[in-house]
Amino acid sequence: MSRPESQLPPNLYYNQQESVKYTNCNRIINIQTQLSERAIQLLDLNLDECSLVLDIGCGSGISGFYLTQEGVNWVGLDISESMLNVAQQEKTEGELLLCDIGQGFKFRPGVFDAAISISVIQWLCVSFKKSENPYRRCTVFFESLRNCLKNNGRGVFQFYPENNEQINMITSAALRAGFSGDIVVDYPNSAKAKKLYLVVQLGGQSSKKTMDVIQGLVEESDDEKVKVIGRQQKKIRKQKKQKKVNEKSKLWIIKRKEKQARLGRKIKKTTKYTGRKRNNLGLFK
Amino acid sequence: MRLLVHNLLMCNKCDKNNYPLKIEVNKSVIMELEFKKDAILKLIPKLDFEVLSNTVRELGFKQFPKQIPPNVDQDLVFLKDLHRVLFETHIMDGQLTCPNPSCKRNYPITNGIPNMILTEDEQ
Repeated sequence: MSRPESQLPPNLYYNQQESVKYTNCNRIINIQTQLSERAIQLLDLNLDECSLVLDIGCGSGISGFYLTQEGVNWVGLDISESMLNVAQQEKTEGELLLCDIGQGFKFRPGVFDAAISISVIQWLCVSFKKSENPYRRCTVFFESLRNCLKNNGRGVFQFYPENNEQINMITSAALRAGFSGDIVVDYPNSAKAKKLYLVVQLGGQSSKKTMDVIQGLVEESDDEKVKVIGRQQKKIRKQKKQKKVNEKSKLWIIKRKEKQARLGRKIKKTTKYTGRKRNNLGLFK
Repeated sequence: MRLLVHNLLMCNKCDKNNYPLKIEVNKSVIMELEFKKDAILKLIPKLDFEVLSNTVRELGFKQFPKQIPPNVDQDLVFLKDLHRVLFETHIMDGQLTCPNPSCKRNYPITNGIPNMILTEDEQ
């Protein structure tokens, strides 16, 4: 399955059909819910003081819903009109703005306590127009964020980088804008469950030139284990069904002939002599 | 769009004189929302109250106070008015205009969502 980022720009990919599907598909809702909960956990909000959070790529408001539950007001940005319309229909309690984060956004300085983003910022690394430069877009995004985030404000961005180049592009843009932080990897050993979170803070103590990759959640939950065993058992059952045919046996020869016939080649009739053991007479080795 | 985000938003193009954006309302709607006292109290320090008050008065609510009253955590009347103005008044159709005389960029509001996307030439 190819990545959405290689198919269409996000405002066209998340059209009305996709937006409705996204909001009604239980699998997607479950994944986005888990990611949102984990990101909010990593944000470590001081709920007595935190009053405004910026949700970047808020979409149909799945992550915003959890912010509302925590008693936090939020402002959501998204490039897809269809997704925002769905959020509007669902009567989300956050503010919604149609905006391209790669162009930058301007709010009053230092007004947000924190920023959150689920499955979005990898879109900054791909460009669909000549005028869009991914390096520039990442730079502009992090500069905009720096301007509207309060000092020592935190940001957690779950994202799906295609390769190390994209990770570097994003982390270096964040560092250049004055953020410090790390990449947190959950379930690094599971191809399916592995998730990356960019966790940054404005200011911060160290002036590191690079970001570290640190391990987040490691133990596989029982659900993961059950899924893995289930997959293995499925594989074994499938293999049993496809009984292996011995090479050069009569059955194998007949199967080969059927295949050739399907391809349209002329083949000889299958008779009682097909695949019969022959006496070499020492002529063929 | 509600007045909370209007109090935070600046023109995307300009660097100076880009706040606050002027609102022109074609259609607005009141949608009731549960009043949460603590959430509103936490939010008050974030607001530019002068801008909020001016905007609210321009839109027709003349009785809205010009300053935050003292003992705000006990003034339920004020808090409920604030709640109404920040969270329950939705501007569904209209536009936002940059106050900078050399910019005056219009951001349309459709279905309650302001469109802040710039064209290629404007970036």
